[in-house]
Amino acid sequence: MKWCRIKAFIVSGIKTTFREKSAVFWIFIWPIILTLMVAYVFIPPSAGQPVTLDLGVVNLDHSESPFNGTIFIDVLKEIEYNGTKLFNVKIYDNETKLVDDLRKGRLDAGIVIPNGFGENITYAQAKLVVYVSGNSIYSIQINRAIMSEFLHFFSINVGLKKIEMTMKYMNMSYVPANMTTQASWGNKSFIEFLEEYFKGLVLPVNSTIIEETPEALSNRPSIVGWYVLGALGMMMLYSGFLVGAAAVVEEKERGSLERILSTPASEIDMLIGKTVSGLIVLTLSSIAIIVTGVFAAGARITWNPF
Amino acid sequence: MFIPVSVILIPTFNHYNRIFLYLIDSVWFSIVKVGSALEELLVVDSVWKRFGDKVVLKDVSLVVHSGEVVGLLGPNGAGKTTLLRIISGVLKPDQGTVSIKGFNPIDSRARKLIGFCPQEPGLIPDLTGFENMLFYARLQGLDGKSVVNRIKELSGIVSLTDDIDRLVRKYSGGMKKKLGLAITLIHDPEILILDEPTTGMDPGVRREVWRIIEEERKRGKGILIATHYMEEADALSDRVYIIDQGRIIASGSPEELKSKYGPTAVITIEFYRQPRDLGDVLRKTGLKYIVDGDIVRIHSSDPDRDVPRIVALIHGAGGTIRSLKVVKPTLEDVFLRLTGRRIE
Repeated sequence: MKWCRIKAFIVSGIKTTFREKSAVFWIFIWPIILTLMVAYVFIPPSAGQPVTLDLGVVNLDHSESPFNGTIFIDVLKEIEYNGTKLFNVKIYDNETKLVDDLRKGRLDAGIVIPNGFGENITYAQAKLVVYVSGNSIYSIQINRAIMSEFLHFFSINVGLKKIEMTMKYMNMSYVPANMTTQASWGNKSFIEFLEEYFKGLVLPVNSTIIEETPEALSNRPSIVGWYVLGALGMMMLYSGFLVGAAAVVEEKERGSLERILSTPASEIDMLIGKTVSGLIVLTLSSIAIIVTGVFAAGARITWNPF
Repeated sequence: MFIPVSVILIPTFNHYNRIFLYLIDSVWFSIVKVGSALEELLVVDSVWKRFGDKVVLKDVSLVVHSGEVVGLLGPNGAGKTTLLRIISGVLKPDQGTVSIKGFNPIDSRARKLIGFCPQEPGLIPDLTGFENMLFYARLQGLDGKSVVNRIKELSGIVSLTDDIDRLVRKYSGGMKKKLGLAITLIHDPEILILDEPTTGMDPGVRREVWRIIEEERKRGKGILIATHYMEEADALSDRVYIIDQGRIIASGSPEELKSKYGPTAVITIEFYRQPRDLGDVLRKTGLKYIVDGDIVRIHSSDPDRDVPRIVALIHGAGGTIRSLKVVKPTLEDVFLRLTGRRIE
């Protein structure tokens, strides 16, 4: 083993690689294309993003009340989760068309707002028909959970609003005489007590849900990051083929292996020299992949060796 | 210039004695070296090689001395390339030994002594001629400025100076062969092993390569050339080994082989005026002859000696010669005689 001989293999390896005009493509352009493809083709744009449901709505409500079907649709359009709209609302003329589209998989969910919805929600109990669909049992489950959670949330908020309104209209002087000294009211007035009590009727358990995001959250940048590392792995695999198998076959074909074997250079010199030159080229490709991945595709690569 | 000075200074400066003795020694050694021109550089001793069931080399032995060109002549597939690969340490023999100045070919000391030029020149097409030479020089353990000078020198010898910085990809076949030869010479090896060095070359380039080989021989190198060109073996070799189907079937100098195995030379003479008694004149030569009208064919085993004698006899008998043609035997004839086949 002699440095001079190893150097011969390294220098000739790198020079021949870059003399080949297609080398620039395979070493720099192809890894960049691969990384961009990974980020924008292999990973669909929706991957790792909060879900937006395609929601079809049929509005049959003609109520004149302050809150009616039209305002409900506005609420549906505006509602957000973590900065993303929860529903992509599409208006339908009739229920048949809505169901048809649901069956064809064009919609995730559908709501039919019956006539009198506005009046009922103000003075009585409103009714809604909700359809839930999806591409798989899994997504139906998710869509159903999203719909029911939204409607639950909406329902409770309407309830609390109605309590507020009720309290405004309630006669302030109406307090039963035998109820003025109840210990359980504490230092509150009867009206205050009543408001609390109604709230308890509408929402007996008011739970606070806190989302704690894990470090390795599978959001979009992380997914792109994993794929970028995968692209690195692929480059390593292929350059291994190139350096190892293809290079020796090529040497054999053009007769240089024979000549090399007849010199004092050993197989170890050749192995080390070719490996190092391959690694140098691979490093350049890896830099191209990582730079493109991080700065162009927005990959988030977490270095966690342990 | 230096010797007389030291000789003059001996009586006065004692320590010059040592320089003087050193000079005497080196002169003496160089005389010894020149004197022993028949140093055995390469000895191949009963080598056998099999590839599967096929026996490629059968009990092959040969010797290459310093300062001689040895031709290994045989048809394609005779085992020439296999033998050269074994000598160069690329392959191992199944039986028998190869010794390069006493070293096994696998020994790196032996590898420094030999320069092997395979049939395919073994060049890297994406490097320039210069870079190819530098690559192989480094594999020989040579690096630095002296190598650059050596490369320049060698590219001059093989007349590639103008093309040395071009990519080998763009070289012609002959240029590649010449560069291959130059690479073989890069570490100034004592033994050159050349596999078909002139195959596919045009005659001009072939002459050039022959000249280079001749010069290396003059410098005391031992050269082994495998070839299937009769004229190449004839023109270059001091000795020839004829190999067929893995076995050495004859060896000796081309002249020896031709006189031993070849047919006799034929001297064809045409007359302006026949000598007075043609039959008598021809009998006096003591050689076999055939008379065919005006043309006479005489068989001679040594035409160089016989032709002047015959001419003198004819002139003496008053004959005038219109033309005289000598057809000498070639190594091709030797091969035909030995194997019953033509070489190609």
